[in-house]
Amino acid sequence: MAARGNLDDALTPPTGGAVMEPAAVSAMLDEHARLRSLLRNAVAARSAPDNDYWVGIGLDEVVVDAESPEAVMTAIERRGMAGGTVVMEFVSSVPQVFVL
Amino acid sequence: MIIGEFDGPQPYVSAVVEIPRLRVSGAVRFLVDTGAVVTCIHPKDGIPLRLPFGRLQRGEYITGVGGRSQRFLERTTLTFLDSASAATYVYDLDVRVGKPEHVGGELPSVLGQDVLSRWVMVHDPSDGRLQFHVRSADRRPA
Repeated sequence: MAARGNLDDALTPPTGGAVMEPAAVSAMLDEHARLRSLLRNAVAARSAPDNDYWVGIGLDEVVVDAESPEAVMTAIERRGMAGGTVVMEFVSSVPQVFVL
Repeated sequence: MIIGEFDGPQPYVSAVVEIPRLRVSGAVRFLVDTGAVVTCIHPKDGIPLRLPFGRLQRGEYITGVGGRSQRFLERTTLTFLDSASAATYVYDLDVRVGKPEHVGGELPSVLGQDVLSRWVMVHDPSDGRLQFHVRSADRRPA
């Protein structure tokens, strides 16, 4: 039986994407870094949290206190801030260490 | 040379990610994980990229410190920038994408040996230096 799939899937070649110009790559990376920095500063300006929360930024406006990354994205979309780059972070109320 | 950054003790490097089948693109900051065999995009980055998780198809299991969990293979283009020379280095590979229901939201996306094995890395946290010298790439701009 043939696999079922989205028409877009069938029309898109299974190879890589187009090679982007360095200026476009640089612009995307710079914007991501800029928003990350804004977000980090916003989190640092807040007092230490009693509870874990998610925080996100789109169009330079910070959304805080969402319980999940999906909730952050929903709030950002609801405010009409999802047109460009969006960055989000988890803020833990207790120290956490990653061991991957 | 590609320049990374330390966030606390952790080494990170950023790339532009493009998943043609899902028509998704954007910047992602990856944790440089020399212990990971493969590169993974996790929900913390997949959600802001508006990745349509429901359209992921090719499932497999990966095992890590947190146990065994499911990821989905997607043909992905990663583009890294040498900001000094404005050169880009392009890699086409099957990236493992995690769905929110399978992967803890706070986990960073990780850059694994499918890319790192093609670089020489200078990892010097005491001097704040994280540099990658590219041995090979799949594509370069014309």
